[in-house]
Order: sequence, then C-alpha cells, then structure tokens
Amino acid sequence: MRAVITGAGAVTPFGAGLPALVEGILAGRSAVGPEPMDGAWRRALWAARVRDPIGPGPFSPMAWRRLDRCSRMAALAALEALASAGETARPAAGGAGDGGLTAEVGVVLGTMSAGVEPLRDLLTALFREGPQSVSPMVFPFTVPNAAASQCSILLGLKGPNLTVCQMEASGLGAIAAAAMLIEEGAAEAILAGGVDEAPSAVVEAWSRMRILAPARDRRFRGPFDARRAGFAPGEGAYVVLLESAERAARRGARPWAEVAGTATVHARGPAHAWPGDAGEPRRAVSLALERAGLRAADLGYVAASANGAQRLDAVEAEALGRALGSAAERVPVSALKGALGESAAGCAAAALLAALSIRDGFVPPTAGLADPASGVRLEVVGEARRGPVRAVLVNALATGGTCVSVVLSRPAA
Amino acid sequence: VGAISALGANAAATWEGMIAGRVGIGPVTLFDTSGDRTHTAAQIGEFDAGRLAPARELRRASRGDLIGLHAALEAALDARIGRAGGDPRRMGILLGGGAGGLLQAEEYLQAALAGRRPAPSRALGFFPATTADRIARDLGLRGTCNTVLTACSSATIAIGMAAALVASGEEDLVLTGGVEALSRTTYSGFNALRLVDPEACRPFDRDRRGMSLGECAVILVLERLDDARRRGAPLYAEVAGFGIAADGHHMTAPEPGGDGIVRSMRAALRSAGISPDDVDHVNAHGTGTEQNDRAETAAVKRVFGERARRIPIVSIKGMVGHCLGAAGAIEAFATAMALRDGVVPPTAGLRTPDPACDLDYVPGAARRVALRVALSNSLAFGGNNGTLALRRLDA
Repeated sequence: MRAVITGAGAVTPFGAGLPALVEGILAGRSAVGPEPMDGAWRRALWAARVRDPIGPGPFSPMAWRRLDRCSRMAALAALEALASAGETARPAAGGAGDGGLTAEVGVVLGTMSAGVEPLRDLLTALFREGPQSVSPMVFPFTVPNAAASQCSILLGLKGPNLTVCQMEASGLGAIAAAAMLIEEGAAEAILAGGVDEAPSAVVEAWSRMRILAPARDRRFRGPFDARRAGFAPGEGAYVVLLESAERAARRGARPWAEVAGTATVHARGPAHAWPGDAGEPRRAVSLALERAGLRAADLGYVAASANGAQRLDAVEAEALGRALGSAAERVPVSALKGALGESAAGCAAAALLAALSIRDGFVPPTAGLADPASGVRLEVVGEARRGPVRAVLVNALATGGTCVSVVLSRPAA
Repeated sequence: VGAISALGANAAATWEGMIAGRVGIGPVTLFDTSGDRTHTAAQIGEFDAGRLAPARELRRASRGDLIGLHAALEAALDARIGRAGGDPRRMGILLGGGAGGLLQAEEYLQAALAGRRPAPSRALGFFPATTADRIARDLGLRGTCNTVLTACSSATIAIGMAAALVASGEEDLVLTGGVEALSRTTYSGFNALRLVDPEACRPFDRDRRGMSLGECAVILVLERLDDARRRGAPLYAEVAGFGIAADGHHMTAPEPGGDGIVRSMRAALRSAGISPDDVDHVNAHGTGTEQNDRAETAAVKRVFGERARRIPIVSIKGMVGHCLGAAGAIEAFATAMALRDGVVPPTAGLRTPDPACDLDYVPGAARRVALRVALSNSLAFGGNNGTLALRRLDA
C-alpha cells in the first residue's frame, strides 16, 4: 500500500504552526540567532531556538504542566497535522484524549535529544542531594519515547507508537519507517517526523569540540557558504500525517505528496563524525531514486542536509553531484538548516516543506548563504522560486554515519 | 545469536542458565546504591573487552557499546556472516536501545557538576544511536542503521521492524536485538517510582514487591531462510509476524484491562496469518509489578479465551532481570530457543501465585513441551506495546 502525506504540523523557531514556518522560509529569513552566553565553558555561538512558552493551545493545562518541552512541541505539531488533514482527534479536558475516528493512527518520531533535559534535572538532584531526591514525576520523561507517547496519550492515538534515533537523520528516518509500516500493512495512518531541543549539556560539549559555528561574524554562515565554520543547533517539531492511499481516498482526503522511495545506508567514518566520504551518501540517493522509479532529471529540487559544517557540506555536495550526474546542472538544491539550524528534526522539516512544495509549487531558498563555496558544483537556490514541483529528493546525513534519502513525488491520480 | 547477560557472557551460557532456573540477580557493584532503597540487580559479570577494539577506542566506548559489540561479534560468528560472499551494502542493523550509554554520561555530568572539565567526547556516548553506529562500522554493515527507543519494548519492536526489512527485500541480512546497561538514572528512577523489589523479583507471585533491573546485549541475525541454509548458518526460529499498538492511557501504568497489549498480540497474529489456537507458548513481559502482571494476565485471557490456562506463560525476568530496552531481545532469544529445543524455562521466583494471576506460569523448573508457535510480549513506559510471533522452523 502506497503511503501518502495528507497533512502536517510544526513548532518552529519561526513560531508555532505551518503559516509561520512557510512565511519565514519563503521570505529567505533565518531563525538562527546569537546564543546568550550562559554556559560556563561556552564560546559565542549561534542557535535556532524555539521560544517559550510552548502551548498549551487546546490541551488541558493540568496535563500540560507535567510535560517536558519536547513532548509539548510534538503534541502541538501532531494536533496541527491531524487538523490540517481533516482528522477528528482532539485533546480531552481530563488529559487523556479521545481519538474518535482517528484512534487507529500511530506515531513515529525521530529524536536525539528528547529526554536529555529531564535526565539532566534527575541527575543533578541525584548527584547534589542523593537518590531520595530523584523525582518520580521527572523520571518517566527521561525516556526518549515520552514525546511520541504523550501524543498518543493526549490525543487518544492507539496505533503503532515508536521512537527512533539516527542522530541528525532521525526525523527523516522516522518518516521512512512509518512509510514501511504502512506499506507492510502494520498501520493505515501514522503521524511521522522529528522533535528535538538543544540541551545545554549537549551544546556545551559540541561547543568545546569546536564543531559549532562561532558567532564571530555579524550573521551565521550556513550551508554551502565559503566561510562556513560549523553548524548552529536547532529546535522544533515537524510532523506529517502519512496514510495509505486507500485510506485517504476512502475519507476523501486529498494527498499532498506520496512517499515514492526511501533508502538508508551506513557510511564509514570516525565515531560521532559526519560521513567520511561521498560513496555511501551517493548510493543512498541513487537507491531512493531507483526505488521511486524516477530519474534525477524528474526532481523539482533536492532538499540537502548541508548545515554549515565544513566536511558535511563538501561530502554531500560531492555525493549529490555524482548521484545527479548531468542533471546536477539543472536540478536546484535547497538547504534549510541555515534558517532552522541542525537537529534530529531538521530533516523532517525538509520533508514537510517538500510535501508542501509539491502541493503548492515552490522551491524553498537557502538562508545563510552569502558567498557560495567554489568547490560546490550545484545549482544552490538563493531565493524562493515559484513553479510546479513533480518530485523532491530529501537528504539526511548524520554523525555516526547513517544516511537517509527519501523521494517524495506528486501523488498518482 | 549472540548474548551477554547476568547468566553468562555468551548465548549458550545464557540459555543454559535459563533452563536451569538460575537467578542472575545479586548485589550491584557498578555504582554506589547505598542511598537507594534497594541494592540488587541482574548485573553482567566480568568479561573480556580487550579484544573488542584498540585501547584508545575502548576508553571512549560506553558500557552499552562494549556489551553490544561483544554480542554482535558472537552473533556474526555464529551466523557465519562473511562466508560465501554476501553484500555488506545489503546488510543492516536495527537495535532496540535505552540507557546503554548512560553510565558514562552520568560520570561526565557528575564531573561537570563538581566543576571539573571532563572530555566532551565522553558526553556523546549517551546518544542512543552510538552503539548501532559502532557495530555497523566495526562489522562493515553498510545498509540500514537504526535504533528503536520505546523504553521497555524497544527490542521487540526493533526485531519486528528488522524482520519487515528482510521480508520486503530491502536488506538481505539484519542484525537486530537490543542493548541495555545498568545506570544510576534507571536504578534510582525506578526506585523513586517504588517499583523495585529489594530482592530478586517474583513475577506473578502473591508476595511480589516489584521488578529487578537488569542489563544485557542480545543480537539476533535475521535473513531469508534460503540464504541461511545456503551458507550453512545455524537455524533457530522464524519471525512469523509482529504487532505494535499504543495504550494511549498513561506514562508509567499499563491500561488495567490490558487493552493495548491485546491489540498488539492480535496484530502480531494477524501479521503472521495465524489464529490464537495456533499459539502454544507466551513469553510474558512479566515484570513482577502488580499492575503489569495483572494487566498482562487479563490480556492473555482476552486473546486466548479458555485456552489461556493451557498455554505455558513464562517470565524470565526473575533470572535476567528487567533489561528495559533490551528486554524484548533476551525474551525473543529465550522464545526462539524454547521453540528450537522444545523446552520452556521456568518463571523463577514464583512460589505462590497471585489469585488474580491464575494461568500456567511454569513455576519451579523448566518444562519439556513440543512447541510450534510462540508469542513474546513487551509493555513499556508511554504505553508502547509490542508483540513478536515466532515459529519453530520445521513446523
């Protein structure tokens, strides 16, 4: 059974909701800003933070106050995705939701940071005051699946519920996993995407490893820029509603796009580092296109994983150049992480915007690109473009070596 | 298969320990528990990590990385991966994870809170994808790499998804299973919830007082039957189907009627194309908490009706503890071995059944019984249920 996208929702550094995201992205703005210098060891650096407070929107304040930030972002994005797809799930006054007709819906979220802030709170109490001070209210939120589970609990969604981690490729990997579950018949509809925050302990560690962009220029130098010097951590929740084409047709929902092909590979490289060479990322792109039954020339654009890291952007540019072949001169390449920062959810944002671009006909621009790097022989999009988009290749490369490529295409009539 | 658990440092010792009903739960020595309410867990004994990686790499590796690699190497050898060709680009890994890297991350934070400057690379091992990335790199697996994190059902769901990857033809071979290491976080967290038994846990027993935490790494190699036969790999069992379903109820308590796990078991039966009447063994989640044991017992009765009393239902957690993110892996391993050998391990610790738990939990000693199909259940924080349906290979 083919999986199609019929709705989406987001909580982003531009604000909550799809309109804020689309407006910010299409205007070519960047939500990356300077970080307050509150960490003891931190250098001046950039980040794309989601501003608090988040929600509660229509959710019960009583239920909301127990939730960690990732659960809040995920629940709001999930609710918007269901509403935009015309589903009926709603939060209930008592906290536990009434799925109604959408009770069969599952949730698959990718994350690498959910649970880390609650974990830090728990361990700070443990080490400062001892085990008797560990809170039974905090502990359940240290598990990374709290966000996906809270979507299920708050909205009454009783389908398959899972959380995956493939580092910075997690959100796209979640969409690929959800598409597989639908194709295998294990579920008919799944909310899929990513959620992440930028925990202070992790940002500190990254900063001390000197892999984050230093805030020495007036603005963040992002993807494919000649003067890029690292990435900016990002935050957000980006969720799409995937369902079988049959279910969408049955309930009269108009698909925005379909998941035409997915591929996941593992590239060699040192632990915790970006893929070391272009061979495996190139293979993921080619496999996804082959499984989609499309040629590179059919792509309206490529949503790249590039984030401003020296090696990542260079490796990906080479991989895309080789995979696209002669089409590389014509197929535009767009990278969102200059606008939204890097996170496990950033690649889900790229997939969400790709689905919208197929529905509405646009190519999103690459924010944070001032001086294109000379070694990048790709048609990188500076400003937003209008026009029909038949298919999009969404790419995600992760530290540790995982590479996920997904092709979304205009749904078959 | 490859395994390291409190019962032994390989698959054979782990399985022999289960059949003997040996209890692997004892004093925790990995970290100080003097401030906790309890002091026992199913901790892995000494094992030789020196052969796993160069010394410099070992220093950076987390406990989860080390036991994961240890089990993965045993599994790769057992399955004769690399014999008769095989394309590493079509070999992947899909693990169930949890707190494998936490013990080291805790030390990083403890040092940072004390005003020291621990090496930042020590902080990154807690990322739950690290162990799968490391195994993929060290074994040269270049296909799918993914880690499922659904707390206590992680590995069950990972094995189901891995089977789907093989069945769909996306990969030829997938290493799957789970890795979990004891940590201060989970130990004091479950103690804060007052869910830990001060002694070895006693699933389904009237006098139970909670769960025992455990740690293990169990890796299963999944591939198509004809590929395995061609290479002469040992055959354990077939993954016939899997089911996943959410409670949508509560963060730490199962739905009391077992509604979520009922839907999960039924989804697994449907995906395997079998009826409840075909099932002759259930490896229960059976944590030894009142809520779990009663909800799961109710669920088994709802799925199997009158037959429920005639099906041996076993919890191995009285021997290997609750291995959280890897619990589903060691339980799937036990289920596969039970199918292969025609023997089910006992529910260790069970002496006087809870009146509300009135099924055949195989107390006392292992039992010889001809098996064809078995289910392995997992419940989890967040209500993330999963069920595997395994089939004996000559059935």
